Amino acid sequence: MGRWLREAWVAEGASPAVSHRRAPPVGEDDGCHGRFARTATSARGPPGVTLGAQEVRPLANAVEFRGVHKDFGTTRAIDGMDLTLVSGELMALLGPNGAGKSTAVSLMLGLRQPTAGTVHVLGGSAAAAVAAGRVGAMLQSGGLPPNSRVAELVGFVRNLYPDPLPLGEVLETAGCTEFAERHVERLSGGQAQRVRFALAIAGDPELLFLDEPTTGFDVDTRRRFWHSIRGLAARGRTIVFATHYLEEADAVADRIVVLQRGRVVADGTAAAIKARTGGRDVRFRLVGAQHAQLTGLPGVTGVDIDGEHVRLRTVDSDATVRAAIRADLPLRDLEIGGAGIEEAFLALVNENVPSREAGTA
Amino acid sequence: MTGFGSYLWLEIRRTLRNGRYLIFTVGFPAGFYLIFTSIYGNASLGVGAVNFGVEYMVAMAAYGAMGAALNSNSAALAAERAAGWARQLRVTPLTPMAYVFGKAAMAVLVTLPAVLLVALLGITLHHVQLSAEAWTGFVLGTWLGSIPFAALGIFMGYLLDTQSAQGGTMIVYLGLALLGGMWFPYQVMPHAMQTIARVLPSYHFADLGWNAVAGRWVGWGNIQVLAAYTIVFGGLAMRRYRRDEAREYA
Repeated sequence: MGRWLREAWVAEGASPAVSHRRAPPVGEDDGCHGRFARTATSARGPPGVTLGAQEVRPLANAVEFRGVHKDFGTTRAIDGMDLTLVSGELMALLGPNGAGKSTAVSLMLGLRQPTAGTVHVLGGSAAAAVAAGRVGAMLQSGGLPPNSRVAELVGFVRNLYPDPLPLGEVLETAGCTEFAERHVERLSGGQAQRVRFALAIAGDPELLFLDEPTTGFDVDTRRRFWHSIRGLAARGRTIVFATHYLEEADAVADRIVVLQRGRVVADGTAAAIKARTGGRDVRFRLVGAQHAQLTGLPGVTGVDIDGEHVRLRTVDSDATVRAAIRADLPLRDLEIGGAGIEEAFLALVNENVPSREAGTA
Repeated sequence: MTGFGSYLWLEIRRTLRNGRYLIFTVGFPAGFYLIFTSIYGNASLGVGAVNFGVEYMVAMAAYGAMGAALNSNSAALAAERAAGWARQLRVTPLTPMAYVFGKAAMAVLVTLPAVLLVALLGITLHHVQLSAEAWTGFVLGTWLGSIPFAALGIFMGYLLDTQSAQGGTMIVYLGLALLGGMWFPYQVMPHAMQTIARVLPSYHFADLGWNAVAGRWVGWGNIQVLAAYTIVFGGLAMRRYRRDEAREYA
């Protein structure tokens, strides 16, 4: 991967990552998580996986949560979580602060043990997967040790893994080359974060966990970071990242799992989650728009009039638009779009009763 | 013990760059040795005793080695646990045992420069001449006798937090040095203080070297006391380590 990932940090020109992007998963049309193999491009994929849609079959699960609960004293951090992550997925764990994202990642890494339920990682215990060097992680609370240099640390972590990436390639991919010889005490927050990314990928792990990875990154660094992540995903690595940045989850992940109060409240593609929670937006301009007249259109669940600017929320945009045209409303500048991920997210996390069918289907 | 070797190497390099390590284990012992031997010269400490230049060379080598063994972990260990580096290592194939024993091995290895530096000053400035056996006994004893202090440093690194670890280590370090007869010769101590000194590991640690330079070769009594302290401090360190494991990773 070296060459083109290197380009990602050096020059944001042509973006080969886009062409490397995997085909959408089979069975994703229902909007739910693909439990089936993608057309894997992984050189390291499990044996028996054949390319081509005809022969796609289930892969080994990278992560499997069954009825997982985690209590800290009297606080319930994870409250009955079932979750299956298929090898090769790029999944976002999305949720507000305190939703249980970091705890879920700690359980996946074996840093925490579930109070009840089972956690399996790459077919065994999380600790075994970590010990075997199959897992890399960027922790939210992971600091760098004083009196060490960047390249020295990355080189040390590389040596712990059975089949690491070349040192130069790790530093390039994580954007650390220019300060490789610097002492870690002299790094800026964003640079230290990049070093932590380098430590996570140094061993070329098949499963990568990133907890709030872009904290401290500026906009440009963030874009380059996600470019590298897409490159790793294109090489078949399974990636889980926890974030509270909605736009990151929307832009990067194949699959978004929304957590609220330690439960999965939604699970699917960004588009599916947006559709599930608010349908679509129909916008147009209409002189003299009448509230009553618009509310009566089929499928409409909300009307917002600002002068001649009208925004309808609808569960069936086709029926709404057809009816509006049949009624001969003099619409102009008609636009139909998905509800924003932000609205979808807020709708989901504000639901008092979590919807379970999406998470456990 | 996956990763023990690479981890030990990283830890040695980090410690040799640590300002506290350099000041307390190299700077102070060498400085004290130069100051006090120039004040008191090579005065004899009594019939049958070695002269002050040799006696104080042993004391300062032991003082520096004890400082290295204690200070290379302790506050540094508490700080990296607080910063989350210990946690980051937990998500690599480095095993927890390799982590702890890497720390201990590092602490024992970085005592050697402190011993050698003071010995070199003794040879070059005060023309200390000893038999090969005496040199070997002194250097090996003052080096490997530091093992209980390495265990103590790890114990304190798990026991204390970042703020209390620096002060706490200093108090323990200076207390052991003073009461163990490293600063003022055991022979000139009041009787009560001699009694205290004889139960402290620091006295037996320095005495291992004093016995060697006096031509008495191996002090088995010293070794027995130091071994007992190693078991006690090692046991305490292991207990705190397990408790930390249970709290941080349960």
